[in-house]
Amino acid sequence: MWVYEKKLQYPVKVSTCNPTLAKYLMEQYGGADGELAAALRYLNQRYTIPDKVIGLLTDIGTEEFAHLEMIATMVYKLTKDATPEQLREAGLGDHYVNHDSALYYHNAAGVPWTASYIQAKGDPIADLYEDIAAEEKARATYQWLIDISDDPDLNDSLRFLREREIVHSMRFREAVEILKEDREQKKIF
Amino acid sequence: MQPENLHHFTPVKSYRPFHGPFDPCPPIGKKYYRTPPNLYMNFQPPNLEQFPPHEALMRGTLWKALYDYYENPYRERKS
Amino acid sequence: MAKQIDDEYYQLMGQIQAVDFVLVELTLYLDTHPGDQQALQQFNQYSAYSRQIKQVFEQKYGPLFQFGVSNDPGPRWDWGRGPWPWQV
Repeated sequence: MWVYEKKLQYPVKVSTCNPTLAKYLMEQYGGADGELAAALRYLNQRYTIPDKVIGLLTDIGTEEFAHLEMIATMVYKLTKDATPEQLREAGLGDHYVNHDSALYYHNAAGVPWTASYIQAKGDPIADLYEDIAAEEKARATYQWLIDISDDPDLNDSLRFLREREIVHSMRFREAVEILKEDREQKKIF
Repeated sequence: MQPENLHHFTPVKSYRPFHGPFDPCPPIGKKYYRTPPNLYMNFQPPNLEQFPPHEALMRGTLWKALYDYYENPYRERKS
Repeated sequence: MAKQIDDEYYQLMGQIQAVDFVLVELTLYLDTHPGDQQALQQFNQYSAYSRQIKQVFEQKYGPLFQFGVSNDPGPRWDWGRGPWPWQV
């Protein structure tokens, strides 16, 4: 099971009421390379991966939920006291008529999250390579978000999340090395 | 393990995309991309240098060798 | 309804976030380096420290964990009281 801890992984701050940035951030909430996709991908793959890397997938998958909560916090704070008029000006009119200011799992363009964003092939190398690619794609998304955002406090949190992608990618590549080097297996040539 | 030319190493790479006479936007000049430090480490060796706890949190990693600061590379082109 | 939070809340929370971040990083590292005794020792040390400062925090601001995982639930049911992490 999981146990919730009443704290954010990182102290998220935003400088201004800026619903436009919230709209962009949705890419990492309910987008193809977002934190929800990451968490669900790893926590689902772990059931059919060699024992040696189950712990890693469980831990990284769990950390992704902490990142999802950070993105949610940013979106929440950026839209919290915005009026319907402000939301419309930010391009969130379509969102407003369906959800008010509620969060929903869709990407920056409003496309709802779908399980076809993630894969579980059952082949450990195929799955880990997908995970490495997912981390690099999420890193790229954070870069483009930092490029387009003019909120220094927000960018501070986005830099934290980008760096986490680098560390996760490193660990997944080590996982591949561990599976390559498994010496307990009998080599039959 | 290490990049070949350590003295000139940068995680910020660039190239100049071809600009034809019928491209309407003025050339952006260089396009940038990143090659973060994890790409140069096959398997993290033991006892790597660490940041102190609070600094580690602020930077997003405990490991100095994996830290890569990111800034918008196009900012200086803004008029 | 929400609890009173002050400078000390942010200060203690900041300490917890820093120490727990070291634990996250060491956890992922140990997942792929299970034989690194020095990292394990550092993990155990930070783990004990984390429990210690959380006890101080929880006495003042209520439980951090649900389902009875927190050290001491206190004399009254405090879990449902805000502010929640995304609100502070």
